[in-house]
Amino acid sequence: MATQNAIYNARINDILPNIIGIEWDSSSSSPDLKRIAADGTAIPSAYFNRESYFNSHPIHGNMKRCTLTSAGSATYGTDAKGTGLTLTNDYVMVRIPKTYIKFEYSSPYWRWWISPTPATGFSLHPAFYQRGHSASPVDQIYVGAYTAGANGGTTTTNGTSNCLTATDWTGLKLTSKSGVKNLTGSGSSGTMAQFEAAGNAIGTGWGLTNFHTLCLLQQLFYTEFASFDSQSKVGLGRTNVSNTAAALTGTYLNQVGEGAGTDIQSLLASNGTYGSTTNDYHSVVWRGIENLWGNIWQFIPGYNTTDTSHRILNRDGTGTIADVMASGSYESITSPLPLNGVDNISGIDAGGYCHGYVSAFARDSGNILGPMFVPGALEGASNTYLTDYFYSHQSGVSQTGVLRAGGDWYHGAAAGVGYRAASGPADVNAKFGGRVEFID
Amino acid sequence: MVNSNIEPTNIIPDFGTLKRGKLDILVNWDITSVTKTDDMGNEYTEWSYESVRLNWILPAVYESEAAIQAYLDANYDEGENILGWAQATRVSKSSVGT
Repeated sequence: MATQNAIYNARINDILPNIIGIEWDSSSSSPDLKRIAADGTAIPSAYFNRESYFNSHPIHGNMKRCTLTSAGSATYGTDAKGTGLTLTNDYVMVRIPKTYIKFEYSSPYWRWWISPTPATGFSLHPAFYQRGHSASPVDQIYVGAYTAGANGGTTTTNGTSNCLTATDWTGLKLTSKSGVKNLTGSGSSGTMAQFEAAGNAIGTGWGLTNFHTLCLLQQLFYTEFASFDSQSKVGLGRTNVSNTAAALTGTYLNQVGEGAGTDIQSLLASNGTYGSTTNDYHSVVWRGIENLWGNIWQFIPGYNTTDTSHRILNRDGTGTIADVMASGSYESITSPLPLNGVDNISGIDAGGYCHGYVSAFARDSGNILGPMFVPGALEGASNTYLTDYFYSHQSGVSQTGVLRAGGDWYHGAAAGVGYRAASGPADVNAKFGGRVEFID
Repeated sequence: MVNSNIEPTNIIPDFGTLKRGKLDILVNWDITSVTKTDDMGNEYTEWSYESVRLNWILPAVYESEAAIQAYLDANYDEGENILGWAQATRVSKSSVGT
């Protein structure tokens, strides 16, 4: 051990392999995670240079902004934040390289690992099989650098939210571009299904960021920061509880209400990250992905809840992504039940549903839910456990639950990379929007 | 400022961290509550407070978690004044001037 420590002490970043993990001691309320090597041994934090290690890691270090054509042809900038790119291009995306994962549970420890290459005990993350790639998983996924705006269709100003809403979805395609208003909902316009269809309309392989992609992003985030607390590690995001409007994509606002905002690009580090832990008007950006939390909610297809089950989009890619997935497209997990307001209540009991700060993850006997960060208890606070909030499935309303993530412009400490809420498939709101993905 | 739907006590021991006579404690103060409305329009109570996590050395052998809690509660703002230690972690050069 002494020799090992001496080596760590000398040049830990040089000797650490590309397999790295995190360990959560679920018996403690701390959101901090322990960094672990492939064999589960702890990596001493005092000798670990996080930014240096991950900026050169084959996965995180290759999360880079690019512009895509609708057919998937990529153009990269000179750095991860996209310097040199035309950020007003319709499809400014962030490439997520192929990621293999491993999950292990040994009470009270939860362990998650990532690897850029196949390794014993690891499997390719389910995200890389989706949107028609069950037989031939892709080498990378592209996630919108920005939350979605609109191209085509007919849109109009969405009240005072600083967003747009569609009055006619015919011909409407989602975008991921800087300097535009987010597309959100109003009246009966702006359901998850409409957003997914407008993503699909871009071309083959396009749609809303799906549940497996969200889980992948969360795992990569937690691994980089060895913490569940995204708001203290990167930034609060546009979440001030007095905010009344969203910021335009690619901008930040220093006010509660509407405005054109100021271009945010110059604030980003070369790895594409920006956030403030004191200013909760500003947007956050993590490795090129803006507003993964705060500003507007993002619809996440691929995870449904019923009164009796979690429905997970088939991990092997054989499912069809939809707001409410058809039989055959999902794996059903009936134990534990999804949190709800009737027979699996935690936190605030609001009748048909419950809500609160997440204090535990749901875990099934097969560990399918293990790498999916599904809330299992809501007895926490904004500085303990997951540090993020959750609104559960609504029991007995005869609606299959769909998922939103991130939180909107006034959710304060509840927001974060792990903030999730169940909705009904018909739910529409000026704060609900989406983010495109391209998998091909 | 920390938020929670659970009413906090002044000191919350994190017993999962108890090791060799030391454990993390969450020291809370300025505890207030407000009635808020959730996304479905239903009211609930949200607690807001200042909170600091400290790694605390226990001064004696305690035979139960309840005994540790009792010791901590008795020394919150008197005796060992744990609250003072917690608040002192917020002091920086800019806050004391020159």
